[in-house]
Amino acid sequence: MTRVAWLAALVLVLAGCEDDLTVPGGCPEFCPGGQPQVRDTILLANPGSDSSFFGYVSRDRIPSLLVSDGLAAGETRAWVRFPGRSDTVNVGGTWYPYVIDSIAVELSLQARDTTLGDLTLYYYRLPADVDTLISFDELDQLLIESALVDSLQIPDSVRQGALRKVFIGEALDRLAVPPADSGVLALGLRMRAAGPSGLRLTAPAGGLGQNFVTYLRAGNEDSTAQTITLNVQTNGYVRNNGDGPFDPDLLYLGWLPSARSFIRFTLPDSLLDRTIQILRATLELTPAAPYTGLPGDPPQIEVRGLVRDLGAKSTPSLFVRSASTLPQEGVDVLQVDVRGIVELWRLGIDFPSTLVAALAPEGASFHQPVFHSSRSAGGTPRLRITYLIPARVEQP
Amino acid sequence: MTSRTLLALLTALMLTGPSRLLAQSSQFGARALGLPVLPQSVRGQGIGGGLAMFDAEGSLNPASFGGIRITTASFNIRQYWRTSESPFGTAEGNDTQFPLVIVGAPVGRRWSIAVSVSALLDRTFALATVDTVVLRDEPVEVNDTLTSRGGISDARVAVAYRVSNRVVAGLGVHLLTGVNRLEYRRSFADSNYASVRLRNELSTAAPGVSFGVIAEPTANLRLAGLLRFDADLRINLDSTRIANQSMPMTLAGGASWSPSRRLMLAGHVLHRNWSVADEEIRERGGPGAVNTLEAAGGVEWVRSRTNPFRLPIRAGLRYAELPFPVVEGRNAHELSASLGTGLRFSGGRGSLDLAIERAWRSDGGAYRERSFLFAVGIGVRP
Repeated sequence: MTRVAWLAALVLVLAGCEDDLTVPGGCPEFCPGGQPQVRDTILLANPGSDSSFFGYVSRDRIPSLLVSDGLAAGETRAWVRFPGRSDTVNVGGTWYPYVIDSIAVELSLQARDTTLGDLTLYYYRLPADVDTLISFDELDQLLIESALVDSLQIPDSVRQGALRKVFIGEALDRLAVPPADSGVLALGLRMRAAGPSGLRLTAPAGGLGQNFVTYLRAGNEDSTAQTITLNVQTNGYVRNNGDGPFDPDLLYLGWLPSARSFIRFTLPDSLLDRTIQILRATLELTPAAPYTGLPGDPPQIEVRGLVRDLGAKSTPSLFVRSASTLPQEGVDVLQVDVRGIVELWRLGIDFPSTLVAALAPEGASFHQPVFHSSRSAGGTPRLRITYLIPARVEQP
Repeated sequence: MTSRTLLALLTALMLTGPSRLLAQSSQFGARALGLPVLPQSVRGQGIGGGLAMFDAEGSLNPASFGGIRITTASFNIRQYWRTSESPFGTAEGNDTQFPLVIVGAPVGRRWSIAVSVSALLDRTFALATVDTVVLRDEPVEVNDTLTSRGGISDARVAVAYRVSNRVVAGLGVHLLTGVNRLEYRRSFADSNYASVRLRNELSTAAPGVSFGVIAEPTANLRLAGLLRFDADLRINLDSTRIANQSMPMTLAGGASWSPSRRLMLAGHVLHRNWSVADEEIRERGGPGAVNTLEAAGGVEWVRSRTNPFRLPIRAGLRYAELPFPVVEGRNAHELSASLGTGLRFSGGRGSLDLAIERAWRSDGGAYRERSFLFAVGIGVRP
């Protein structure tokens, strides 16, 4: 019995050993069947089939407010408008007028040029009827010294987060809301820094809100302290270089209302062969103008495939997307790896071989890139595909 | 349980059981059909392969089990450790294999039958290659790994007939069958390029037939002969025929001499005309094939005359040419030295054989390999 136990143990030990087969190899000696071949091919966009459409993000749906001063990418000004504030407060079921102790305006910083200091945000009083129809010139003319309410020095250490400005004393008088405005407060925003710069503030559509907080004492016997907090009602920004004219022979990404570009390719049968392996597929877009934007805050180019190609209202694929960060400056060809999308085209399902490119954040970037199209004299959009033809390793 | 029932059960086990019925992994098995394997028991391995033509628990010669008087089942476990050298580097590895399962039984007074599955050619290896390729005008480092598992197994049904007290003849019907699973992986140092993973399954099949004879001209001398033919090997890739591969004829002869009751010497010489496959392998881009000759000899010394199965001492040497060169024109060979012993227990119903082997392979150039083997053979005689 002891022998059998030893035998069983021996068998278990041997059978449990883990294989380690690997030895160093090299070709041609250790490449049975040869080496796989790697090839590179370039597909140009179908002539005349690429175009841009505007209006995907409208002025009242922007995710960020842009504010700049002297920035080469463009001058921008922003505004916010809060809903009407009641002129009475309820204490114990009775409405009383109130006396304001202080007011706070809360904004949220999304991005800034961190290489520049002395960043100051200026708050201007605007007419209560300001809306998304206001132009850059109209808003800029309203942001004058006499309308200035106050300013907020943003420490150099603050790169993102809440910006809270509390108004007291004389500034409160400048924030007084006349009865004709029905309690509506509107503010204009501009900024200055040690040099040409800009910043991006969160707009409600982009996540965190903007708040108008009033600290007050009710006019009852006890002067009850209360707070009225109002979330922003509407906001927007305007820029001095965002309204075109737009060349139909160029491809636009971003802008406001935002643009997306559709680029169509035809995949040859040789690339539809499932035995080949696509190693990399890169969409290459040639800029028609130098990139320029806010330093340190480059947007991304997002590229998606389509479920159905219906033109401007096509349904983009939600599951496969590619993205690439836009260069900060220069005129380098933009490259976005889209292998996942091209693999979808090879599935044999009826996915159109169309790419749709957009800027992210959409409608809220200082960058306004423009690219050549297939109708341009040069720089046609192209798809560069690197693929592998397997070796016949299966054959001894 | 009757002998026939046990035989049926073990036969079913062989056909459905170990999938890795292979010999050892080797860089010399990377080309063409792989590394040839001598289908011998652990006892035979301890004698250096010299007993292969007479080995009742091996499957080389269909006449070799003609002398068995009781149903016997055995299987082998082999653990390899090896060091491989090539111009691309040195690596150490190990693997565990199960190269032989055999069941044999007497049928009547003169007949015996045996069913076996053994490794014939092994194509288990993993090659790792580091290279630099130019992609989009930039050099990119790539890591390739080609892993192959499997090979060609030899399923045999053999009958042996005792012609007289001094002559046994055997006939074996073979089915060469195998599955070779290949996986190719390539990864790029530049993560912008997707990794590649390709899998293929190669299956092979061919019938074969072998004739063997063992004669005992004197009381202490035995002679053996073997002739084997295999039909063309059909090679399928995922069910699609991709090649027909000519297989060699095998011709072997052996001798066993027992000058005393405690000493036995045995040896064999075996030839295969693998050159019949040369042209076809070259046409598929391989390095061709060459005829091979192998010779083995060994000794078994029984320590106890009253109990000959108690820890005998076995030793032997084997030299074999390898049919598929790694580098065209450089024929490889292997030389091995073995030691072994064994014992029987439970009234002779169980047996345990042990062997160790040191092997050296070389093509006379930069490709070399040293391996160490530890083998365990287990036999059951119900």
